[in-house]
Amino acid sequence: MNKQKKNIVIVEDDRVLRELSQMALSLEGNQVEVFENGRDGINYLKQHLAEVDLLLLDLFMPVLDGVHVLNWLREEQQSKLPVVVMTAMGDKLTEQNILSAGADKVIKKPLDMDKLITSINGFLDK
Amino acid sequence: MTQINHQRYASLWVGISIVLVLGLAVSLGSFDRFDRWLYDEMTSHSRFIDSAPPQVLLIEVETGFEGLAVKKWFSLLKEINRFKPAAIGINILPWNWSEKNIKQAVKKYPLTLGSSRPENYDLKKHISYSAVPPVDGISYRQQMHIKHIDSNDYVVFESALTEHIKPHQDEKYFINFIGGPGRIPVIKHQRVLNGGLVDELVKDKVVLIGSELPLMMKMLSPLGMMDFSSYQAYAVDTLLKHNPIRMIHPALLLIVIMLLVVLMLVTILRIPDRYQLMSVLGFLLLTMSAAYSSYVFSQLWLMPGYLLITEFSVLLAVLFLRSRYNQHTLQSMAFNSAAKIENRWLSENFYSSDVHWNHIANMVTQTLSLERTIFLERVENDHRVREIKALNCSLDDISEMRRDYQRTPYTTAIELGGALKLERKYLNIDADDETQYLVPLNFAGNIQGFWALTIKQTEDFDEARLIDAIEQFALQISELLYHRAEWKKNQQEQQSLMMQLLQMKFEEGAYDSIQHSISFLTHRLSVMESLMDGLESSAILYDLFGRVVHVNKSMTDMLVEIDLVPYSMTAVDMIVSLSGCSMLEARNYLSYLILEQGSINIPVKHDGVKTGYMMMVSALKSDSDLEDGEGEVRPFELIGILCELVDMTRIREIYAQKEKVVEHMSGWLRNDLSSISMACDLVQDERITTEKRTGLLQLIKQKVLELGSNFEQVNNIVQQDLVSRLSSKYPVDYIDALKVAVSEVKRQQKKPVEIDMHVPFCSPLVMASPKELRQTFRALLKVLSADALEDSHIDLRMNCDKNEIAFEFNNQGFGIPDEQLQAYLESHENLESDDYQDLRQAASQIKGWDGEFEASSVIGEGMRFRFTLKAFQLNDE
Repeated sequence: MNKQKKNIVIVEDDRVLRELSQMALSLEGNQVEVFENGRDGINYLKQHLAEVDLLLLDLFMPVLDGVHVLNWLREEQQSKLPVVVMTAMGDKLTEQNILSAGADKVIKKPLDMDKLITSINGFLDK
Repeated sequence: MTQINHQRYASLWVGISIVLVLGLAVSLGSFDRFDRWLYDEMTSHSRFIDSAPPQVLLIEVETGFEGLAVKKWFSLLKEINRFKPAAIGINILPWNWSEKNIKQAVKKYPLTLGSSRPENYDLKKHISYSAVPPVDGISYRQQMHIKHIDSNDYVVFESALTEHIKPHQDEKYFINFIGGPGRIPVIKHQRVLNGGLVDELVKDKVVLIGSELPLMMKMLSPLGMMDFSSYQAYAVDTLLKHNPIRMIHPALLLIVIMLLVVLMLVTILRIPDRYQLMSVLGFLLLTMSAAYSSYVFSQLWLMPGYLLITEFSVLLAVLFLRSRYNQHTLQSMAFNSAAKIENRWLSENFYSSDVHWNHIANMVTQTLSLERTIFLERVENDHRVREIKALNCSLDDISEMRRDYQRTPYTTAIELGGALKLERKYLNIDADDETQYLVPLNFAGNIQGFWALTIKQTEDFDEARLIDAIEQFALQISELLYHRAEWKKNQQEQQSLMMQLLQMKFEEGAYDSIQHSISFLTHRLSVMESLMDGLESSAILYDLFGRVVHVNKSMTDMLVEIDLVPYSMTAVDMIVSLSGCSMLEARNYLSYLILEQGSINIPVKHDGVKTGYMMMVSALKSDSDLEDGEGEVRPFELIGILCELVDMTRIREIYAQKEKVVEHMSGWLRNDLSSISMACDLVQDERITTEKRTGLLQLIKQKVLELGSNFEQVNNIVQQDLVSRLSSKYPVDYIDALKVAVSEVKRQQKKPVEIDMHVPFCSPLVMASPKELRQTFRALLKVLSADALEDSHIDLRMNCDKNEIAFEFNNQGFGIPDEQLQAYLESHENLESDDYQDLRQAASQIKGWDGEFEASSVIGEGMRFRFTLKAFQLNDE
């Protein structure tokens, strides 16, 4: 387990999942900020991009979806912030599209705590 | 029943009638002239018949009796007597003979004298009466034995001449002329005097001496014109040979006629029509042969004239019976088929009962949301209208003055030829908020009646649509009225005996019925053809042998496009051409269809037909309820093979649509599962406080319940029947619909215009009708495309909110005045431009899906359409 405190941003439209993810990652000693759509997420990142260690991003969201956030981050901000995308879309084509849009990892729902923590640990260790 | 019995025994009655009539004719001698003509003809054609040697020699005195002196007479008699004749007769007493001469001659020779004057008779019993034979019409065929004059009986010369040989008892007898004119030898008296007689001609024979003077009577005999002496010679010969012609006894003739009638009826009725005439000719020939044989060989005259008349009568009767039977069969067939067809189309009960008009009135009232309805028909031979059916009003609501259909408002409605909005009150009802209309019911060029109706105008009242619908209904109702009027007319005619008598129309003719049936059949056929042509799927109907019976329009169009000629192809050819299978496979398919009476589905593989078509081939079984009992026999009870090309694209789209919904909903379910799974993990974590643990447990419970409810909702949505619920709302992937609409509009574009789509990577489904959504996008894009400048761009943007998708379509175009655009959108009237009509429909459709729509236009800039559609969310209906 990573003992160093990391700043993680979660952008997820499902309130329950968002809060449970926040609780799980907080228990691991991380500082977790949560947002319910891409627009709110971008607004936060505009202010705190340099402080954030990892972005946990849902793909399918109202107002602004995950791909838009990725595009903003990689193309507009030229940021190399690690981004892990959570998706309920199970097909290979979607996964490839997300990766080519700039995601570092794609994890498929449904999630459990171990899957979530294991998926992001690699990026936090770096 | 009586009719059937009458038909059954018709031949018996006809036979009896013929026998009775001919019996009467025989007794009255009605056809004697015809029969005697046959007698004469047969006699004149009997000259080749070898008759018995003549018993008479006729000696003609060329100079006449007055030119022969008594001395010469005695020389002649002496010369004749030298050859020992059986008798000598002089048919007319020579005028220069004295009583002494007579006595001397009679004493010396076996002489019988005849005299044309009865007063000479009985002169010493040596003179008989040379009587003129009885005439039969204009011809002479008989002779008498005794002539009755003034209550005196005179023995006729011929009988007197032969009396000593055989007594003759019959009063009259038919002279036997068989053998022709040369049967009796004739020589001149001069030849006798010159010693020219021969023994064979005279010995034991009767010698008749007659005058050959031109003034002597000539008579028409069966052998033609003949002098009196020759006629007497034939009579004498007949008496000597005892072979006069006998006539068949009338009773026997009647029996023969009866047998002939029975024989002919039995024979002719059993043989096919085409041999009937030949068989009657055979009977005629047989009759003539029998009559001729009997006449010439047995001297019995069978009176074939009556027999021939009998045969002709039977022939005519048979023809009459046959024609009557055919007529009856035809008529009953025609009546039956007419009745069946009419009942299939509309039962008689439809016209006679009010029930159906109730249904019609209710149906139009409900469909068109009418307040009141009244159907009126014309009163025949009057100017007024009469009520057929009314709902919420009656004929009493129309004032007496306004029931004359030759006046307004009827004439105005007729001139208009459609629904007339009535400005002046027509139905006197107390409802000022109702608008009244009067519609003429016109069919086959005649006004059948009128339809008056009222409607309440609501906010969304669309008069143009209403009138359109009213006129559609009016056409159908007019046709019903027309048939009702025809039916009533027929009923009246059938009930009016006087009318039937005047028209000489005692029953409906078979041809009327056939015409009726044909017109009904034609009507039904055209309806069926329209139905076939109106089918979305392409269909072709084959008979059992694979020959084309009917091809619908859709199929014809499709086959023409791919250069196939349906009428020159059998079902096997068609299957091979469209499916690409082998001839053997196609034959196997058809064998299966015919023998198993099933159906098969074969994917269409043809370069000219777009993918997604399925060829559905099925055997059409005959419906025994609809068959005639006497219908044609069909093997396997099949009536044909139906081959349909069904476009499966739509069904595929529906499945794809459902897949999208399931995919979207599975995302939500995965989220729920993630929540449950995460919560379970956290509950087990020791670092979690008891308070939080309790909260998490409650959350898990809540999520599990939601999950169950969501599964149920997924199930409901997946099971929805999208084919029949075309207009209902359903979660639709608007991106797919938009892409299809864009490609369709691009195909139809006449100028280069780019359409740019700015579609989010992930977007929720929208609540709309799958088919109508595509049409809606197409309508919007068509207006933008038509308005766009060349080489410009049409911009399509979508923004997703949690609850809705916002669309913004705009172009770089000419634009129209915004007021005009708004007027188009708000108008209820038919617009000249189809594009703007569709745009208005699209706007209305979007609002119907609980969306919002706004359009704007600026001249020189273009148009913009902004609208929203509700996003699909769980717990949505």
